[in-house]
Amino acid sequence: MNKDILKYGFLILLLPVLQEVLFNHINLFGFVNPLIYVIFVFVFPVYKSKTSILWTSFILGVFIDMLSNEGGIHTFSLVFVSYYRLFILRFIKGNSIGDEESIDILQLGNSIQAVWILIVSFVHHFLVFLLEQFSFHRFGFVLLKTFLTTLLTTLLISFALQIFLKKKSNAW
Amino acid sequence: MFQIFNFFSKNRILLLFLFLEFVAFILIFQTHSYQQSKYITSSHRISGSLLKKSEQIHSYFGLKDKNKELIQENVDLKNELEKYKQLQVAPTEVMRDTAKKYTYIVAKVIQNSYLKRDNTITLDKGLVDGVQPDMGVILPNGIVGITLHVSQHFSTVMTILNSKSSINVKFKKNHHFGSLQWNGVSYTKAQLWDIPVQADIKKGDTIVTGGHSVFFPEQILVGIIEDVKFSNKTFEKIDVKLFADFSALHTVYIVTNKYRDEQQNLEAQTENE
Repeated sequence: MNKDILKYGFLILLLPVLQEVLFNHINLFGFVNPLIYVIFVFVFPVYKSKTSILWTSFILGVFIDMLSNEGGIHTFSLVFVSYYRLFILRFIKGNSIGDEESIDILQLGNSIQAVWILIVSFVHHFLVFLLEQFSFHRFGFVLLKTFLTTLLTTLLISFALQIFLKKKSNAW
Repeated sequence: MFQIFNFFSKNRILLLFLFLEFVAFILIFQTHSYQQSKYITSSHRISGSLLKKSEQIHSYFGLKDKNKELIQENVDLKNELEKYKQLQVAPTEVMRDTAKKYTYIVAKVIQNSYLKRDNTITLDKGLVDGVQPDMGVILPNGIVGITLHVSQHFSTVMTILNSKSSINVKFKKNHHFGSLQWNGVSYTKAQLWDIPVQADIKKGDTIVTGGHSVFFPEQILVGIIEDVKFSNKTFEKIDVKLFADFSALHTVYIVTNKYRDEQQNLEAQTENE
């Protein structure tokens, strides 16, 4: 339990720093920066209570918002997808999800894992960019930005999961 | 009573979810009002010092360009100085006083955004350095924005790339006034409004800050006219290409106006009468 608090506490501090120092400066095509911190929603274990993921993603969101000076945009979007992450997974797997508490992201299979990351990132990014715009003005641009950023985020998160989680699959 | 408890315990998670989303939404709304939340901004002490570290790392990669810009600025300032030397006018009491009206604080940009609808930047100077809310921020070759929140060591700036920003500007050649706003499309272009119809506008005209603003000194460069749309005997849209490159902000100057409060109070008094 204490080990978990340390581990996810460290992640909550590390992800905003990585996001701000590294990933907000990529500027692919001049405007695409992957929102890598969404990886939190995938690595936070399912067997933990729903209350704990809501609170932790709220705190992570607040940190991201503090650094990017955006009020509560990232907080709102992150809490939203962390609440609906299992709903989305169930939707992809067609109810054959089995025992929810024993879901392991690495045992999902690559394609299901990728689709899950893609859909969750898309929902999250769409909320972020729509709230950033704060109107339906230039909706096409918001959609384009959402599509491109989602692709980049999905790619990077899948890559990161392969590297950091494959070796010690029991650890998470 | 029991049913109420039952309802709450059954929907505990949903209620928590709604509560957290509600809090986040309030935070979002606060950033859209002028009086922002004080706690979740990048001028906060902890996030400020982190951003400062991050900027220090990034600044190493731009040293060469920065040097070139500084040399250019030096040359420009020297030329300016020569002009004053040639004037050779003995300063009168009034001139000396107005000459000291504006002083400048140098600050580094430690966080920058220019791709959103409402853009802000964070500077590494705060209250202890003499920065106050509502001060102008400029570059050697353009204007950046106005300070919004100031903490002990950091401050956030609402740039002209913001839906709430409106800056008093004028033409360098004929002193027609207007206001500069941003439509959110391109960070290199802002739009000019409230220009009188009789103003003679051409592509390539230079826009500078007007004297009506308490934030900026007069005659600070802003941009040049890039495109003019004229229809129904009014100016429909005037695009101004900004001199400031918001994608590469590094060092900026905060303008402190010695007589700001005096001017603002006087104007408020006059308005109330």
